[in-house]
Amino acid sequence: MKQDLTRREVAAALLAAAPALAVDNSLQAPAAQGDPLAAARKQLRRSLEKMEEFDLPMPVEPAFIFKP
Amino acid sequence: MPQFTDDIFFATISELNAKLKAREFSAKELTRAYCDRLEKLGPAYNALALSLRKPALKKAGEVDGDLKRKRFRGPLQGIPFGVKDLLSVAGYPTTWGARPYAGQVFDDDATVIKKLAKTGAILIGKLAMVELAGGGGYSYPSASLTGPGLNPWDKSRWSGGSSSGPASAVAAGLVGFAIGSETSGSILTPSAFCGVTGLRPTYGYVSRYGAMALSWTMDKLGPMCRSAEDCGLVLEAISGGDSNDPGSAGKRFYYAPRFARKFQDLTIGYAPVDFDEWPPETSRPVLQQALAVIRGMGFRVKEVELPDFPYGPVTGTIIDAEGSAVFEPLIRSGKVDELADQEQIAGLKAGLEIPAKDYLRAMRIRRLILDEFKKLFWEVNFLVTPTRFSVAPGAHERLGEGSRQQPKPKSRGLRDMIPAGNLAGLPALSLPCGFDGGLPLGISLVGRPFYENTLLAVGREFQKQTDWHRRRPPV
Repeated sequence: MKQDLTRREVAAALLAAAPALAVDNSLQAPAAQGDPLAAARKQLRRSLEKMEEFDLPMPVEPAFIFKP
Repeated sequence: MPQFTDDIFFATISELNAKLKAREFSAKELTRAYCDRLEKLGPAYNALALSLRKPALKKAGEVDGDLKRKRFRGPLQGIPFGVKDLLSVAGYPTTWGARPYAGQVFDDDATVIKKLAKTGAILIGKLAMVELAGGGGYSYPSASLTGPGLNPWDKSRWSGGSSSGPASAVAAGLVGFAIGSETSGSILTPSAFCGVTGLRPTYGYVSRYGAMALSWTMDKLGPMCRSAEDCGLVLEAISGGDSNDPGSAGKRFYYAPRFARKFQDLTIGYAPVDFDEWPPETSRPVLQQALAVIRGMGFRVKEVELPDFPYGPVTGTIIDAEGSAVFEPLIRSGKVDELADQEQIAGLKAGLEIPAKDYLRAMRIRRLILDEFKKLFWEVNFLVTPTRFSVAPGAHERLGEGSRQQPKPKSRGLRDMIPAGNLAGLPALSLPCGFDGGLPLGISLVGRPFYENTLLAVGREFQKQTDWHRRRPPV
């Protein structure tokens, strides 16, 4: 059943909801500058480029061993 | 009811254990006092994730029964300790410092916790950490469910991470010792920033079972204490083979400082540039003096430099690829967006896009790094370098900004020792070595694999000749 609220009732409801609606930013890190995902991808690409510059002889195996 | 003064809260493990055996106070009284202190002061440093007062007091009662019957189990018996909140404690939340895991509960204790329980040590709390141990990268100290770790020496400064809670808690005398973890810097950095003694053991020495994985090939658990001696005692208790950990080295550590080789027979490697040029000017005298103390112990000395490898990109690629694989369900579900740090979220997402060929390239370069360290340790027995070149940054600053104002030195020295040492699985001991502007600095000893006894022997001697590890922050 629909019930119209008075203006006083609307104001009281909004005030009661304010703490729940407020976002607790005290635990959030500040918003990242620009597009963080693009920046992360760019950083990864830079790392990969640095590794590609490194002369890696063909016989070198990865630093893990599989033993059945 | 005995009076617990700061002398008790800042005592070493051996000192506390002696007092317990002499019945100056009971384990229950000591545990209650530490719990009160941890619950009261821990939140002031955002160091406490969860108090475990009730099970701790129960355990303390059992320990008192043993002590009364003179059933002595060793130096850790009755000592209250805390663990980084990436270690599972059965039936209690293990949050990994991250909102998506805030309600997570496991039904088994981590191996490290089981081992410490057998010694009679008393777990009193889970300590705060950077969310997911910083996997994916993070740009602010507030990258944590509990907010930024605050430094007991100056609460406007960061405690360091990712083992932020363990470092603050040990520094402020809230626990007798703590267990932290390191993938790349997470024991050493907060140890240096908070003026505590931190030991990163050889990879595989301590079981990772029950610890959150970030990088399977780089994660290590280790003690954070008030002295090198304490680190040795704790490592002995927590080390050893574990069939539940595929990375276990299957070796046990026995703390034996009396069998350390004569210092005159050993050679240390260091880079002058690490003490004379890389640090800011105000930190140099402190670090140089610490080096002088070590050199004064009679070692042979050799100047060295790290071989030229892309340590940062290799470390980053391995941690990003392995970390994103670990947290793939979190990322694919979208719950990764609940993390506190935007760059961490982005880093984890991007990490899933690393091609296998690039991960393998990083692991192949890692093989060469391992080979080069083997050669380096034929020439020197261990390396000495500042743990970090400068003091803790501001707790609300963007990390990495404003870090270098002076010209870059020509030589790299041992500047990349943290990523390099972690790639090679090497042990490292960070010792408090003085203050710059009232904030602690640390010096690190880095050895070949399984060289912990020598590092600890040198650390013990350093702490006989200096008293930096005894200084107390204004709590």
